Amino acid sequence: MKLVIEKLPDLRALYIKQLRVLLSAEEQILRGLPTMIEVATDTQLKQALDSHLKESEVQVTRLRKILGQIAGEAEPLKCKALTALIDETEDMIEDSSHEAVRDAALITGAQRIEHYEMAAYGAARHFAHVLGRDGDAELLAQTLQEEGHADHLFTSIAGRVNPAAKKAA
Amino acid sequence: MGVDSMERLFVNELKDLYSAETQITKALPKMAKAAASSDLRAAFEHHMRETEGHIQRLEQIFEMLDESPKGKTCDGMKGILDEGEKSMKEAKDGPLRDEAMIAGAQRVEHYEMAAYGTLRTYAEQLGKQQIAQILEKTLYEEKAADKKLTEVSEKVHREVRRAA
Repeated sequence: MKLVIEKLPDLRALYIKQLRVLLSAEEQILRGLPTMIEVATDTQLKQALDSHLKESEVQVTRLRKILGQIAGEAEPLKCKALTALIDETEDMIEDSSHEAVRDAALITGAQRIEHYEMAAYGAARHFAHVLGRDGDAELLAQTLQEEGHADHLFTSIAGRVNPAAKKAA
Repeated sequence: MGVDSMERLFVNELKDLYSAETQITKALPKMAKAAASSDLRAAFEHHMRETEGHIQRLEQIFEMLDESPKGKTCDGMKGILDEGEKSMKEAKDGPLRDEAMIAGAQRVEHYEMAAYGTLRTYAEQLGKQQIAQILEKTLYEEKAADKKLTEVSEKVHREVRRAA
């Protein structure tokens, strides 16, 4: 199958492209998370990031399965937006000189990443519905739910970590 | 400059968001122009006016903090907008390009929702209630804009299905 698409002719092509970009996003997250887990100091934050790493591995498997079925292969297409979000998060972490502030910065970055994924999986699930690919839509909805849950967990951790960061100031 | 306090992190992130909003005001007119659906065009135009209001609110907050809004480029937003522009160019014009633009615009909205949500929490925790309220207003509008895009996408989906 020709995977370099000059102009996207239809929704199916747009859908495949978005899935390939998402696959690249997830793979970047898999590479980025271990560093974030390492620098996190709050135990609950470390655990949340660690369980999100395991979740992301499953999410990659789901994307590969969907792409394999519709496109015959699962080739990632570089997600530059996620690269920028991870770079931005790493900058914030490097800039933070205090542990609790660094945890707060880490959470902010992680939530931007979660929201990117929520928007992307939401759009992909919509496309799957329109294309009548209900099985895909179901798998994508599972991931979407996990991303939303991760985002909420980060919010609740932030509620604890931020006051500590403020005290440290 | 090292960020050693919540206050500093808060100001830094505000600067980041100010840069993000400024970048959005440059992208939205192009998106409105490229939209085939009149509903989508209207949604982009409406959000353009809202975004100008968001920038004014941020300027007001910087004034209250006696800080300058300048000094940062939001690389995260730049990446999201670049991706959106590329995907807009790739899609055939008409409902399909509208779909691609909606997918991109919702990523932008979600970035903003995450950023405004965090900043509002920081403001509350730093005891800056008035600033938290201003940020809350914008957060509400970003969420509404995201919902509106979902509604418009339902219509566009139907058109795409008819065209298929």
